[in-house]
Amino acid sequence: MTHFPGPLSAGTPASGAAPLLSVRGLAVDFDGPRKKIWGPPSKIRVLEDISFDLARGETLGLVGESGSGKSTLGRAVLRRLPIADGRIVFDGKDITHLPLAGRRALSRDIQMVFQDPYTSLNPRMKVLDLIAEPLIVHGIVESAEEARDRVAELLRLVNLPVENIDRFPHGFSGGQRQRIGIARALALRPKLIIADEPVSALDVSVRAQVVNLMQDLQAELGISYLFVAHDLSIVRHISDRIAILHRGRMVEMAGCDAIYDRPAHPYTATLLKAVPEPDPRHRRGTPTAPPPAPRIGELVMEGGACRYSKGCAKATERCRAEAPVMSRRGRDRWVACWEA
Amino acid sequence: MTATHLATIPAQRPRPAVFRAAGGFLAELSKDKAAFAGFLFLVLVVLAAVFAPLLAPHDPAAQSVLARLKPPAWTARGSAEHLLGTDMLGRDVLSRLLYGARASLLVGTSVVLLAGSFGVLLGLVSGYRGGRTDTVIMRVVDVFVAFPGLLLTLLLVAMIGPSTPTMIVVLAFSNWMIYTRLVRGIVMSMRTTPFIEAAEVLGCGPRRILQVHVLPNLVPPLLTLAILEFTNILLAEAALSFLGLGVQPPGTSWGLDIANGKNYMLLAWWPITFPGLAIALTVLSINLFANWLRVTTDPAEREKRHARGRLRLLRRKAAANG
Repeated sequence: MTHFPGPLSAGTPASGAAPLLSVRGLAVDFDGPRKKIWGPPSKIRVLEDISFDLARGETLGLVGESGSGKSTLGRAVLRRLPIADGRIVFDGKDITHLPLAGRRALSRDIQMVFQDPYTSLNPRMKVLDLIAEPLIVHGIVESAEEARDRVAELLRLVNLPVENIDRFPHGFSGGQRQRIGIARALALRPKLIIADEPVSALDVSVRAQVVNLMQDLQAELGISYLFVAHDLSIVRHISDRIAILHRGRMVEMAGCDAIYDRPAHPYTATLLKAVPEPDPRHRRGTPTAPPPAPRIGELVMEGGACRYSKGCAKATERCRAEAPVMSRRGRDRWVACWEA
Repeated sequence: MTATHLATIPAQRPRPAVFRAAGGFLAELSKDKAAFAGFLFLVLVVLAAVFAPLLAPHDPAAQSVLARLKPPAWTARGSAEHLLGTDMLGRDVLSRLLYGARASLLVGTSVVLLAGSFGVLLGLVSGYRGGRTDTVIMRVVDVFVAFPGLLLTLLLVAMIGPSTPTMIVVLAFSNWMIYTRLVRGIVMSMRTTPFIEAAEVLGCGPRRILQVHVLPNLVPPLLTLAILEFTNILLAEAALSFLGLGVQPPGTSWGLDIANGKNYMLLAWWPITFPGLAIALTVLSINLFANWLRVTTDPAEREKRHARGRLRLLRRKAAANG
């Protein structure tokens, strides 16, 4: 297993201080089909050798196509999935192997904002109960009524009228529901929020509002974000750095502008070409489709080769024989490619 | 969406006192005519069951050979002595009807509650834990379902001896599986919904998740199932009593009376018609009331109903204005 030498957070806002979250050589397996009827299920490696640091108050955008493992990475950091290999250190504590009680305690510091604001709020709970729930669960208040003032404060924080406190979520629009979800995530004053495509289910017109709100909250409360998205244009707006995932591996990680202006990895370049350009005079060239995603069986077989080598224009013999490791290119750029 | 608009929807007005809640409940119920009628009939049946000794004109078990098969009071040969006539042993049908409500309601509700709570509990555990626990529980359910219900019941009653409590336990014993299957299925599909994951991420333990997040969302389907089951149990009670394994004479139940009256059906329609009507009307009333309750317990459905009501009102106003 290759591990990163040295710190990865150089050039980020809080460089020098200890990072809030460091992930080293993380691997996650899912259960695959059984080889024998009574045998144990085979393992499919969905995340392989992921390493990064996240500073306090920083936003790291995680970008990749469907199935690249970006949401899985978020859930692994939340410790909702078993870790097959590697280490996760959060706020100075190793959280790689936590018992159930420890994982529940961890939820005070790491919270999550979900993709779908319609199904992530219990339809039978009022706004008050929804937002007060984390406070009740962690024994901060006895009942939702006791938390009424705190909840009202949280509603103000996310720019929702306080009169809505006794309403059920079905009367709200998607953007408003997502604000409720954000208020709920904020209730425990977490240090890290994992945002799993928080705006992709929203109307384009309200995406900016929600993203701006998240930025304002970050400036006010000093939260770090792990911002998962498949859409580079939203991510560019909010992220300090961006990590590109491809089939369970990180292929490139760099500062926001560096990625956009000088994509190093061929896959990053392909993704960027797919972003629609509003000004017809600035064409980036025709988007090329990335190579088709492999079926589950193929993923297991891939073994040594670079997972992008099949559809990559720059692929050489070396790419097909040996998977590239992340190596440092420049002050704040890491790339996993032999040819870049 | 503005704050003033949100504030004008009345369903969410806070109602602190319990009696005000009861008043609100009746006010809301009275808007749905069918449900209100069903509710009234149910109240009537419950009152009849509770106050049967005060209301019944005769001892329900008192036989009178001279007054056998007297028709109801409003027919040519009827008398005011027996308003709904008498059965083949000269027992007063009305008195038996009032006392019979006791047995039927008691057996129906206690079986549904007993079987329901046991079945729901197992279903919750099975659906939420999954894996080996789920496999074991579901295989037990399969065995119970595969076993012929009547045979099991006969076997148990023969072992313990026929009586009303025995019947309740035995019926619960052979009717809990359907709750487990229903609840397990819903819980399994609910486990993957984001709001359950959100609750887990917030730090909720399994107990709180089941109590606060899963169970309230199970109320509408469970209500529907429990009511269907209640009617089933009423009929099962009748069947058991008919076979002599349920309510024992001199006790009465609607099912027992139907079973007894069946043999005289062509001679006298009344001993079988009135308990039959009682069962049918009770079942119908429960259905009407439960349908309303199901909608009322769902906040989204409730608001839709409110909106429909407003729309109807507006249309009527518009029509009145020309």
